[in-house]
Amino acid sequence: MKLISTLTASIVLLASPAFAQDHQDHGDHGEKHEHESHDHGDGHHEDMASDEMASSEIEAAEGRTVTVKVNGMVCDFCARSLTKVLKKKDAVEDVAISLEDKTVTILLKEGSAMSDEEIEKAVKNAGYNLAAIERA
Amino acid sequence: MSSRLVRALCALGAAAGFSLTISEARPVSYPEAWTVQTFNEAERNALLIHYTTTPKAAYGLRIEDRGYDDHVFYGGQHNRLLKRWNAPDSQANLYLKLGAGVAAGDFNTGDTESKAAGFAQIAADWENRHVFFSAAAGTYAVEGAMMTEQSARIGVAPYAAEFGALHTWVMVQVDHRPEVDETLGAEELTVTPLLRFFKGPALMEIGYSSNDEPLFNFTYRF
Repeated sequence: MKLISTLTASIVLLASPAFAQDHQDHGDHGEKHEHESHDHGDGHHEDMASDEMASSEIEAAEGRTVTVKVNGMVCDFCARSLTKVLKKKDAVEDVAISLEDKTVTILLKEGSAMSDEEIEKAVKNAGYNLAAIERA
Repeated sequence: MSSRLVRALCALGAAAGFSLTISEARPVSYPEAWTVQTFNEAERNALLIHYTTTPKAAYGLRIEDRGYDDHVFYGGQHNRLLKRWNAPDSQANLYLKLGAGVAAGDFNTGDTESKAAGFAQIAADWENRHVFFSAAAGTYAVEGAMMTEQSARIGVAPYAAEFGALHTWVMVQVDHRPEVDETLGAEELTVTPLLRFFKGPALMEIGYSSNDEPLFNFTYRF
């Protein structure tokens, strides 16, 4: 009886309008482009104070940003994994994530570059798949 | 390590049942990441610390106080991501978890002894930003005895949070343990409504089962 009442309460809770989902379609935007690149090592550096730098701040650094669309990035742990892996790259100054848009915006250090292949390898190393790359 | 110390360590946090269950969120993290997980319910408490070496493998140490079975498991654990499906708006995973070690305690017989023990579990999940499903089936073996367990979870997110914000999930977990001794207060089938919260590197789950047992799980990655 206790089991049935618990199960019933659970179903009612899950079916409650309060938990109705806000469905949003997210199209796949952007095309993958080829770009010139330089080789960089996989050296480590300290994370910056904030793991959640605003995309707008990064996008303001014109010419040094790469926006990557990622498949499989559905949660905060996914985003954190990508941030940690990308920030270990010598060429990367900072990373911003949008779970809504499924994008990772990479701010490159002055004078540094990352090839599409390097970015794709890093995304894969974090456990995800690259869908598209757009360079500013 | 004394049973009292194990209980104290495990009391740092908490889990659903033989905590090889579904509650082990993201059993493989990102390369070079450490994960500390604690699981607790009334008579089952566990502490797991693991290190992820590649996107597909993690290795760790597990201590699990199995109150109903009156023993403590000490051993190593290997989590392997067998397959991941990354889609534009969702992700699905298939995991294998293996463990081996020693079980020490009275085993409800009154005689203290140590026995070889091990476990194997297969787990699968699918999620997007709004809905979560998972299922797992496993076997825990101690010399002369084998226990099986199946678990499933369904969850919904009342809102879709951005990176770095507080993420909240409302979930229901069902555990089936056909070999439990119900005379000791355990139940073969339990249903546990729970809330999952996570923000940054920390994840916490709180719930209360149909067996009148509180659930508290905690995960921290660094």
